[in-house]
Amino acid sequence: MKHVWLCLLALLLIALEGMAMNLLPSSLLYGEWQIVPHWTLLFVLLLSIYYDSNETYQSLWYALGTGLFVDIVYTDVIGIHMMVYVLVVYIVHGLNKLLQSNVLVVTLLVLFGVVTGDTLLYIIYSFLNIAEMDWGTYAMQRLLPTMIGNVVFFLFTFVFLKYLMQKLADDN
Amino acid sequence: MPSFFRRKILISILVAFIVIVTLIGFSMRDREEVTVPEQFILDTAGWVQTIFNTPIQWVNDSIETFQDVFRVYEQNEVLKGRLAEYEGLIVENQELEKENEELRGTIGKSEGLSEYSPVQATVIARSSERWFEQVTVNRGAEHGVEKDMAVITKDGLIGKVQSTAAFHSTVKLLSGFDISNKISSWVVREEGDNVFGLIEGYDEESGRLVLGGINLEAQLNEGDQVISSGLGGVFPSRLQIGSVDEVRNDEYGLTKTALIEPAANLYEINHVIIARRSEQTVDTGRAGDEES
Repeated sequence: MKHVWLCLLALLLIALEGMAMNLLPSSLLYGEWQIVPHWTLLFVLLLSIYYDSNETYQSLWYALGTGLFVDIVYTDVIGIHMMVYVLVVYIVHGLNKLLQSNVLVVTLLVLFGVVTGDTLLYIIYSFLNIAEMDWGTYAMQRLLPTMIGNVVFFLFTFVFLKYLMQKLADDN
Repeated sequence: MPSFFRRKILISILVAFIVIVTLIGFSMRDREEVTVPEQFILDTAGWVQTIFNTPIQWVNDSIETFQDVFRVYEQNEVLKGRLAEYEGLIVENQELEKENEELRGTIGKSEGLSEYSPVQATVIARSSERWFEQVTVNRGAEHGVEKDMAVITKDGLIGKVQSTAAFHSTVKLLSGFDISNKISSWVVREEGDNVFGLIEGYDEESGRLVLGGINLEAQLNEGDQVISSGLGGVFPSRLQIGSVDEVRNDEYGLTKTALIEPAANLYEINHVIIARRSEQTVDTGRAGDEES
């Protein structure tokens, strides 16, 4: 049952990502600074931190599934978000084992996840000739605003998602 | 058995890598149609977006209506002025249409390339991965939408249909066009013949379209209108694309290249029309290549 809830929540976040791009004022989204919403990635990262214990790896499956969905719904190329999400979640899961989880550490972990994820996507897409932007422009115009935008979203939803995931994890 | 365990990890990483590369290769080639599971996923996400989008759209529309009410008086004054102009235009238009019909009759052609049946659609989402300039609309194969159809707003062309599911489809915007998505177009001249050119891509930095392959002899002025020619076989003709902003010779000096300011706003898109061309001159098996 709880997997149904988590899947629905993931689907909702994927759908909302695209709707936000359409509905938020264009002055905010299409100015000099370009924010990319990585809400689904945030969701699976939190899943790996709060839902998984040190030995379970269920968040990896969620990363695989949501990555595939994002690939199909929003891009032409299948497999890239899938790979990146799984990789990032695996690294964060490993780091989380080493660190104690308080709010600051979790925020830094999530920030690390988003930055790694977005950079990996940029590298892969530039290999495929889809992204055409040089490193400096990318770092200033896209990576930095994306980082800030996603951390703001994370801080807004953090309490709710943490509560939900810990509750579901306790039911185990 | 640590060595066996390590080998197992190695093998699974290799297998995963091969699967990913296969998937990328499979999805990157030029496909006529997306597979059924993909269509299903596209539709699923589409339905969720539609559910949330409907009330938001309703509020948005009401606000717009509300704002319009306040401007009614001003608009009315302007429109009254315009009305007189239109009277004259209508008569002229009727005469031209009649003449056109007669001329078509003489060459035995019933419909021109400019005719299309419109499918109204609403944009429900835009790609969150910004390397891809694409939007999702709430009309799909069930409503008669097919791959490569032109998508326009009231201002002009915004893109073409990239893939269709049963009830939703994705539209590639002009800002995501590259060398493989050419549109054959005309620059409209007041005197003399229209000048032919091909939209060859999008200049990200200045936000303008690149119109290449223009005859070196042709004289283009800033502000000339650019429309689709309909010669590619898929797009209807006479769709507004934009206006000429800058003209320069291409790198070899054999043709001219013009930079086109798109007529439609590519960032705030709500309601779009998918133009389904009425007359299919050729079987679009390979003829659609020019515009695909």
